[in-house]
Amino acid sequence: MLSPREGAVLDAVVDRIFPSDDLGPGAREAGVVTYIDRSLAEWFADDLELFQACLIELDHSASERFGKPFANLEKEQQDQMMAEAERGAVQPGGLDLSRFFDKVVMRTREGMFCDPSYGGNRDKIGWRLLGMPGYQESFTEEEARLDASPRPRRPLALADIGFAPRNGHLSTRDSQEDDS
Amino acid sequence: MSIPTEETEVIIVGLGAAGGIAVYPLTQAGIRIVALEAGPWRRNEEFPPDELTSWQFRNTLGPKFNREWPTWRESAGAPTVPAPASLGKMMNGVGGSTVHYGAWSRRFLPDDFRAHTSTLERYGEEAVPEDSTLADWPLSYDELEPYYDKVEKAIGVSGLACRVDGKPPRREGNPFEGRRSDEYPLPPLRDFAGGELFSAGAESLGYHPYKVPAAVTSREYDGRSACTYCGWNSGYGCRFGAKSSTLVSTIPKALESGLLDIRPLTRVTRVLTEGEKAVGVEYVIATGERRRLRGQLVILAAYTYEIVRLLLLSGSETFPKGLANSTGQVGKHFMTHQYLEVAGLFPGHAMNRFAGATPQAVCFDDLNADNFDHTGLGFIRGGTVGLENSLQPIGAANIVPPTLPVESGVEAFPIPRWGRAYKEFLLENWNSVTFLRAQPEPLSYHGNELDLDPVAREGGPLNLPRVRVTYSVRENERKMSAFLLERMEELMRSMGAKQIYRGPAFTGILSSHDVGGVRMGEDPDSSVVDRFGRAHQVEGLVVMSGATFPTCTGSNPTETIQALSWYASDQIVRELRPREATREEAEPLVGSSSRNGS
Repeated sequence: MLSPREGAVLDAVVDRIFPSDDLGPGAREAGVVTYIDRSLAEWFADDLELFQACLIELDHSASERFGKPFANLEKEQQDQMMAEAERGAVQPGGLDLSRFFDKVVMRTREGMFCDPSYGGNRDKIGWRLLGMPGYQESFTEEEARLDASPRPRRPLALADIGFAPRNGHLSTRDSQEDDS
Repeated sequence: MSIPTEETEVIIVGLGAAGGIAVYPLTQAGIRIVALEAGPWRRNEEFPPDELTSWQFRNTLGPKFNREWPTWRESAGAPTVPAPASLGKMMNGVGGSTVHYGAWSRRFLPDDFRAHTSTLERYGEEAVPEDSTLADWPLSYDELEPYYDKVEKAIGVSGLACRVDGKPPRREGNPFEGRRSDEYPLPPLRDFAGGELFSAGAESLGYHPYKVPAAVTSREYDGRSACTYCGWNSGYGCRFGAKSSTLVSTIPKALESGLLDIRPLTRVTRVLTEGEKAVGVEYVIATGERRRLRGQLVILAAYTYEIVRLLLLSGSETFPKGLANSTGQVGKHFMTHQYLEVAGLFPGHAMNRFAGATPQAVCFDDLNADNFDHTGLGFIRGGTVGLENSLQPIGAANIVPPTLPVESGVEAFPIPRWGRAYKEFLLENWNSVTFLRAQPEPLSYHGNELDLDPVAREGGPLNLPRVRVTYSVRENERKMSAFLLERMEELMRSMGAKQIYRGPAFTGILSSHDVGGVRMGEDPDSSVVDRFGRAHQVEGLVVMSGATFPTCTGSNPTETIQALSWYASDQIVRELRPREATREEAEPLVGSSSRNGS
C-alpha cells in the first residue's frame, strides 16, 4: 500500500522504535514494515492516509533540516525527529504527528510479536528474542510457579497447530460488510 | 409486498450468557423456541489462539459489535465522541461473549441486593449522594441462590466454597460470600506465581484472599475435557471446550430436546407489538431479506446496548417514546466499571504468567460492598481487588513499561515507549511484571444514561442509529477510586514489588461490565421490568440481561445475569406450562409485579 518512498521512511521509523542492536534483532529482522503495510491494506485501512501524510511530512522535514531523506539521516538525527513527532509537529506550522506516532508504536509492537502469518515476527524472531513460547497446548503447575524455568519448547505459531490463514490472508474488515 | 412470517412459541433474541442459559430450563419444560443470533455458530476448532484477533486488538469475533460502537458524551451539551473502551469489546455468535470472556464466575454478595437499605441503616440518608438513584434489587440473594447453584452445575464452575449449608466455613474460601446450598461442582484451578504473591501480601494486610471461581473445567465434566492450561483464554474461544461458555454447555443440552431452533446470522431490527402486547420480531437474514416471527413471548437477551436500542427503535402509537418507555425509564441508571490497575515490577523474578490463563485468579472482598467501615471516608460501596494470570506476546510488549495502550492519554512513565531504552527494559523485565485490578462499584445517577444518538449511525444497509452513552464519573466514585488505588499500591508493596506504577482512574466507558438501562424494580414509574425481567407495560416481553441490574456492584456480572435468566425462565415455565412446574414452583410468588392483566 505504501510507495517505495513512504516504505523507506517507515522502515527507518520502526527501526528507531525497536532497533536492531547488540541486545538482539529488531523491527527490520522481524518484518514489521511488511506487517504494517498489510494492516494498512486491510483492517487498518482507515489509517492509510494518515500514515502516508505523516511519513511524507517526516521525509520532507528531514530534507529541509538536514539535507537528506529521513532514511539516510544519522540515528541521532532520526531519534531527535522521532521525539519531536511524539510530541507534535516536526516543522513550524506542520502536521501534528503525535496521533500517527501513537499508532506506529502500537503497530511496531504488533509487528514484532504477532503470529508470523501476518508478515511480522518473521521466523518467530520476536518470540525467540523474549523467550515466549507462542502457542502451547499446556503448561504444568510447576511451570507456573514463581521463578520456575518452564521446560524449553519450540515456539509454536498458528501454522504449526493447523491454522492456515483463510484465503491466503486474514479477513479484510473487522466490521460486517452487509448486515448478516 | 408482504414479509414472510412464521409462528413459534417463544422467541429469544441473542444466545449469549443470558439466552444461552434460558434455552435449557425452557426446553426442559417442553417449550418450543426459535433463537435468533446475529453472529455465527462456531465450533471449538474454529477458535485460533491468534492474539491479533482477540478483543484486546481487532476483536474479529465481534464484527457487529465493532460496527455499532456507541458514542459518548460526558453530559448533555458536551461534545460527543466514539466511546473509549477499557476491557469493553463484546463478540457476536452462538454463546455470545461467554465464548471469549475471562471466565470469572462469581456470585454477588447478599448486601449487593440491598445496597440502598444497607447504606441508610448504617450511615444514614446523608451518605447517599444527592444525584444518585441508588435502589435495592426487587429480589434477595437467598431467592436467587438456588439459581446460582443451577448455573454453576449446568455450565461447570470450578471453585472452593466457604459457606455451604450444614458445613463449617472454610478458611480458604471467601468469608464474605452468601450462604450456599451446595459446593461447586468442580475443584478450583491450580496455584500460580502471581496468586501466591497476592495471597501472601493480602493476608499480611489482614485481607481474606480466595481463588476466583472460574467457568472453566478443572476436571473432565459433562463429557468435556479438563483445562490444559494453555494460557489462551480471555479474548479467545477455547479450542478444547474447557471454558464453560453456554456454547458448549447449556445450549447443546437444550438442543437435545429437539425444541430449540437456532438461527445464526440473523439480525433482529424491531420488536413487533399490537397495542400493549409484544407479538413477535422483525429480523434480517444473511441475504438482507426481511422476515417476521410471531410468538407468545419475546425474550430480549442481547447485550445491554442492543436491548436499549431495540426498545427505543420499537416504538408504536401505544409507545411513542419507545417500547416499554412510557415513563421515560428506558436507558436510565446506566453504570459501567472503571477498572483500576496498579502494576508492580519484581526485577530478577519470573512471574511466568504465560503458563496459565485468566481464570486462574485470586481476589478478596474485604474492600467490596459494605464490608468495611466507610465512616469518614466520604464515599459508599467499594470494589473487588484481584489478580489474574495470563500473558500473550504483544500484551507483554504493551505492559512494559506498565501502561495502558498509548491512546489512553496516560501520563508518561519514566521508561520511554520506544528505542533502545524501551527494548532493554522489555527484554529484562517482560516476565517480571504483574498487575492488580479493581472493579470499583459505581452508583447509578441522574444523567448517566443511554439513548439513541441523533446523528451517528452504524453504516451498512440497515444504518441504524448508534447508542449514545451520557456518563460522567461522580464524586463518590472519584473518592472510592483514590482510596482503592492507595490500598492497591500498599498491597503491591507488601507483595514485594520494587517499582509500582499506578494506572488512571478513568479507564473508559465500554467495559464489558456495562449494566443498567432497563432497570428492574417493583415500581413501574421508576423501573422498566420486574424481578423476572417482565416489562411492566408490555405483555409478552421479557428482558434477560445486565441491562436490568439496578446496581452495578463491585463484582463481575456474568454469573448473576445467568442466574437471573434461569430464575426468569422458571417463571415463564410457571406461566406457559403450569403443570410442568414443580409442586413448589406451581404457586405464583406473592408480590410479583403489577403487570397489566395478571
